Amino acid sequence: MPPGDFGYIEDDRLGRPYDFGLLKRLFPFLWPWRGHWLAGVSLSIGLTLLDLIPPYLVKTAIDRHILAGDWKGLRPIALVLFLVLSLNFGLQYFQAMVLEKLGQRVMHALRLKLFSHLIALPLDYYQKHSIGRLATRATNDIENLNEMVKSLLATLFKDLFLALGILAVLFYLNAKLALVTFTLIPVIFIAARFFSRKARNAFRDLRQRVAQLNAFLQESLSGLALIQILVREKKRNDDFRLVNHQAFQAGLYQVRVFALFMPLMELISTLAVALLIWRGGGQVLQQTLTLGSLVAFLSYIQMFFRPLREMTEKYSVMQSAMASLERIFEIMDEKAEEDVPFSAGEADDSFKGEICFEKVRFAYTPGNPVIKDLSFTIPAGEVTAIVGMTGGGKSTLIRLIEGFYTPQAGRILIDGRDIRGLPKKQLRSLIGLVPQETVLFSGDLRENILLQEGYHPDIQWDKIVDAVHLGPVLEKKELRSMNALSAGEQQLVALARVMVRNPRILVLDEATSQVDTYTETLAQEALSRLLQGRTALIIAHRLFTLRQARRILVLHEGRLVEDGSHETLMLRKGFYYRLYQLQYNKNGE
Amino acid sequence: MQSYRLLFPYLRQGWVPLLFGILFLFSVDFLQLSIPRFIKGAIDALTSGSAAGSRLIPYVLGIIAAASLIFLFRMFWRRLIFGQGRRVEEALRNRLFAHLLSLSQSYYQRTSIGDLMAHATNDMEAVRMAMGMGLVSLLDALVLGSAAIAFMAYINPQLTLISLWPMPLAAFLTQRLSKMLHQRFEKVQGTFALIMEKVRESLAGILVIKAYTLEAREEAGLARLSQDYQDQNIALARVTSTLFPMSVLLTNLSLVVVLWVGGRQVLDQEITTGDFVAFISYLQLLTWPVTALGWGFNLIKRGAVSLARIERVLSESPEIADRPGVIAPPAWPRPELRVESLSFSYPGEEKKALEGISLDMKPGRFYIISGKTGSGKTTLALLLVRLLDPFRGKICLNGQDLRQIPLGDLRKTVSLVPQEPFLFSDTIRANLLLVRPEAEEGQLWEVLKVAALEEEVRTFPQGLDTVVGEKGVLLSGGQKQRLSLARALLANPALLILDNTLSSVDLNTEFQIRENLKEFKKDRTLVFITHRLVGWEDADEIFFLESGKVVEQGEHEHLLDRDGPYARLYRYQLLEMELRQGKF
Repeated sequence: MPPGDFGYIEDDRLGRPYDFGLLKRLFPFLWPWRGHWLAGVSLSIGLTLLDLIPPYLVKTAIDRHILAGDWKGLRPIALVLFLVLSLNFGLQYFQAMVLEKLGQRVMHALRLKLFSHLIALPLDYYQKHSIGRLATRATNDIENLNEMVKSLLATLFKDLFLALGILAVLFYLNAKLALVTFTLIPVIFIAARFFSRKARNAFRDLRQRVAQLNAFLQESLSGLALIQILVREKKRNDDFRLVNHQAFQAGLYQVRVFALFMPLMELISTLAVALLIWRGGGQVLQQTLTLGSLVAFLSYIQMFFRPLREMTEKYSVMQSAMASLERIFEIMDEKAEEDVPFSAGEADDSFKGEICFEKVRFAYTPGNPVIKDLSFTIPAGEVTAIVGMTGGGKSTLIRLIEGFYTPQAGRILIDGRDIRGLPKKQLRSLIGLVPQETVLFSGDLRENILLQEGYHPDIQWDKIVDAVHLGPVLEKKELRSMNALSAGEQQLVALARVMVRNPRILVLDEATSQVDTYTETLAQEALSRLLQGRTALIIAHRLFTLRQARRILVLHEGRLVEDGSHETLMLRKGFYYRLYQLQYNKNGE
Repeated sequence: MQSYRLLFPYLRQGWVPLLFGILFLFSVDFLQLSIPRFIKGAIDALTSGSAAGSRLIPYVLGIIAAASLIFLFRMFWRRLIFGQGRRVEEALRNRLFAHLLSLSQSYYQRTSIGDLMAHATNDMEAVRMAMGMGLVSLLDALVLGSAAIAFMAYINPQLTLISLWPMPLAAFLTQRLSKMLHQRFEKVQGTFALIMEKVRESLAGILVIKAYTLEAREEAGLARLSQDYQDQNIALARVTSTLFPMSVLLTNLSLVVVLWVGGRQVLDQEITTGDFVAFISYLQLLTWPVTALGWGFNLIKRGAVSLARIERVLSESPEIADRPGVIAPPAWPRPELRVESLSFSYPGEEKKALEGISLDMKPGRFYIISGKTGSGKTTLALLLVRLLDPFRGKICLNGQDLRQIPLGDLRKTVSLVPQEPFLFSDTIRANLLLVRPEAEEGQLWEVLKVAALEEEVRTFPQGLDTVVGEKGVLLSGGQKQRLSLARALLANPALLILDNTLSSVDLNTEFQIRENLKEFKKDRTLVFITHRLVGWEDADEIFFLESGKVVEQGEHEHLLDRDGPYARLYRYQLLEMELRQGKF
C-alpha cells in the first residue's frame, strides 16, 4: 500500500470529512480529468448491474430448470454466468485503473503546483517555517489525497448505486417480502450512526494519543544528549511508559468499539437471513414466492451489507484527507514574492551595472532597523569591498540588492532604475551571487556548475573549468557524492557557477572558513578573472580581496563608518587601519 | 521469520488470552459453517412439499442461535487477539525506548532520528498488524477454508472436487502476483523517498534557486520524478487491480461449475435442492479464506522484516556504559579534573579532533577554554562529561579514570550546558524541576535571577507555568540559552561546563550574567567555553585551542604578553567594543 494509505497525521488537527469550501478549490484540479471521472462513474453503474445479475441467474436456474427438471436449460445459464463474471472482472480492472490514473494525475498536478508556489514564496517565509514541515506538505499531504479522490469520486457512487439497485431488485422480486426485509433498515442505520459516532471519537482519541507519543519520542531523541548529561534517563523512561500506555488504552478502546460493531453488522445480516427463511419460507409454501426467489433474496441481502460497512470505513480516510487539503491550501494562500511583469524590448546587456543606494532604511522586525539611511554609489565596473563586524548589516545589503527584501524607505537603483520596477528574474540574472556557504545540489559536478538543462553551445565549458582550476577535481572519478568536495573546492564551484552565468554585477559574500594555501591561491586567481569588467560588491574577509577593491566601505550597525580607498583609510588611522593592523599585519609588515 | 523470537517473552506472558482468542476464533468458524446446514434443512423441508410453516421454525431458531453465538464469540476474539497485539506493541515499544535512552552519542551521530522514529512507529505498527490481523487471517483462512471444503465434501465429494478446480490456480496466481506487488510497491516507495529528498533539497537551497533564477530547473526536476512516481503507481495499480478481483473471479468460477454439474446432480437426485443451495453458500464462505491466506501471509512476512529492523537497534550495545564492578565513589564536593595526553577523532574522519591535550582543573577555580570554530572545544566538553570516550590518553576525576566511575555519579558531579539549548515543550517550571524535582519555588526564582531571566519570566502572564516550545511561547535563542543555564545551575553540580552558552545573549546581559555567576560560584568549579574574550580577564587560567591542540595556556596578562593567537583575538574584540561604543 502506498505510504498515505493509513492516513498520515501531522498534528492534532482533524478535518471535517466533507468540507465543500475546500472541495470547491480542489475542483479546478479535477476538471481536466472529467473524462476519467465520467468513465469511472459509468463503470460503477455497469459494475453494479453486473453484480446484481448472478443471484438472479441462480434464481432462474432453480425455478425454471432445476425444479422443472430441465437440466439442458442449465447450460446456457452457466454460460451466461461465466460471461457475466468475466466481464465483471474486466470492468473492475478498468475501473480501478481509470480511478488510479485519475488520482495520480490530480496528485501530480497538485504536487507541481504546490511546489512552484512554495519556491515562489518570499525568503521571509522560509525564515519562519521549518523546511522539514514544508517538505512534508508537498509529499505526504498530497499523497493523502489519492484515496480521497478515488473513493469520493467512484467508490462512494458505487456503494450508493449498489444499495439502491439491490432495493429495486428486491421490490421487483417480491414487494411484500422486500417490505419485511426493510424493517431491518432502520436497525442498520441506527447501529451505523451509533457506531460512526463512537468510531469517530475512538479514532480522534487514538490519533491524538499517537501524535503525542510521536512528539514525545521525537523530542526525547533530539534531546537525548541533554537527558544523558542531566542523568534523567529514568524519569524520561517513566514518562514514556505513561504516554505509551495512554496510546495503548486508546488503541484498546478502538478495538472494543470495532469488536462490537463488526460482529453486530454480521449478526443483523444473519438475522435477516433467518427472517427471510421464516417469512419467505411461508410464502413459498403458500406459493406466492418461488424457491429461486427466496435463494436470490438470501444472496442479495448479504450483498446489501457490504457497501454500508464500507461507507462507514471511508469516513476516517476522508477526515485525514480533508485535514491535508486544508494544510495544502494554507500554503497556496500565502502571497508569492511581489514581482512586475517583463516589459518587452529590454535586453540584459543594456545594463552597465552602476549600483546606487539612496537613503535606504530596512528592518526585519519593526522598530529594529538593520540598515539606517544608507547611501552610496558604486560606478559601473568598479570593485567595492565591505568590512565590518558581525551583525553590522553586511548580509542584509546583499539580500536587498537581490530583491529578496524591499527597503521600508529609500531606493536602490541599478543604472538609475529603481529595482522595484525590474522583474525579479531580470534583476537576479543581472547579478551573480556567491553566497558564503556553497549550496550543492544532487547531480554531478557539471550539473552543479551549469545549473541548467540541455546543451548550451555558448557556454565554453573547458574555458571555465580552466579558469577556476577545476580540471583535477573533475578527473577524480571516485567523486560520487558532491559532499566529498573540500571547502576550498566548493568555493571554486561557486565561482564557476557565476562565470557560466556571466552577469554584469558580482555580489560575493566571502567564506570565513580557512582553506589550504594551494586552493586559496587557485581561488584568488579565479576571482581576479571573474572581477574583470564587472561591478562587484564584496563582503571581504581576506587581505587579497581587500587589495582588489578600489574602494572600501566600513559598515557598522547599518551605517557607513568609513568610506574610501585602502590608502586613504590607512592614512585616516581609524577603524579600518586598526583592523588591518590586527588582522593582516601580524608580522609588522 | 527468525526475528519472531523477539516476541517469545511477550507471547509467553500473554498466552492465556491469546489461546482463548484462537479458540473463540475457531468456534466462530464452525458456527459459521453450520448456517448453510440450517438453510439446507429449511430448503429441503420446503421442497419436500408436505411441509407446514411450523416445520421451518427449528431451522430459523437454529440460525438465530448460531448467529447470536457468533456475535458473542467474534466480539471475544477480536478483543482478545487484537488487544494482545496492542499489548505486545506497547511492551516492545517500551523496550525499544529504554534501549534508545542507553545508547551513546556515537550511535546517534551515525543514525538519523527519522529512521529511529520509523522503527518506533511504522515498524511497530507492522508488528502489531502481523500479531493481530495477520495471525487471524492466516488461522481463519486455514480453519474456515479446510472446514468449508470438508463440509462440501460431506455433501458430495465429486462435486467438491470438480467445483474447486480453480482454487489451486487461485493460490498459485495470488502467490505470483503478491510477489510482483511487493516489488512494485518497493519501487513506488523508493521514488517517494526521492521526491521527499528533492523537495527538501530545493527548499534548503532556496536562496541560490532564487538568486540564480533556477525555479524552472527545479520544477522540471520535480516534474520528472513525479512523472516516474505516477507511472510506477499506475504499474502497481495494474497488479492490485488484477489481484483482488481475480480471487473473486476464481471463486465465482466455482459457482459456474456448481450450476452446470450440481444442477444436474439435483435432477439426477444425487443431491437435494437444499444441498445445492448449501453448496453455493459454502462457496461464498470460501471467497474470504482465499484472499485472507495471501494477505495474512504477507502481513506476517512484513512483520518479520520490521521485527528484524527493531532487533538490529536492540542489538546495538551502548559504547559508553558502566563497566561491571564500578563502585559509586563517595560524594566529591571538590572535584579535581586532570586530562592526560588525550586524543580523539570522530569515526570515519582522518583528522584528529583533539590531539595530545593535557590540562588540570583545580576545585573552586574558574577556567576559560577558547579558540576558533572547529578547534575542538566542544569535543573536549563532550569528553569531560563522558558523552564520548577518548581514543588515547585519559581523563581522571580526583585521580580516578572516568571510565571507572558510574555514569550517573560522574554526571551529577561534572555537568555540561551544551551549545544548542534544549528545552522540553513543557512549562518553564517543569523544565527546571526536571533536574531537581524537590526544589522550592524560591530556588527556581534564584537560578532564574542568576541567568538574568527572572524579570522576563515575571512579565509572562503565566509566569513559571508558561509553556515553552512550539505549542507555547516561542522563546528567543538567548532566552532558551538562559533558561538552560538556569536549569544547570539548579542541578548544582560541583563542576559546571558552559559550552558557548551565552552566544545568543546580547552583550549587556552577558556582562550581567557573568557578574552573577562569579558571585553564585562560591566553591564550585566553572569552565567557560567561549569565543568572547573581553570581560573574562580575571579567569584563573585560559586554555586556547587551535586545530585540536592547546596552543596557549595561562593567565590573561601572561597570554597578552606572549602576543600570540589569544592576544590577537582579544585585541580584535577590543576593537569591536570600541566600534560599538562609537569611538570611530
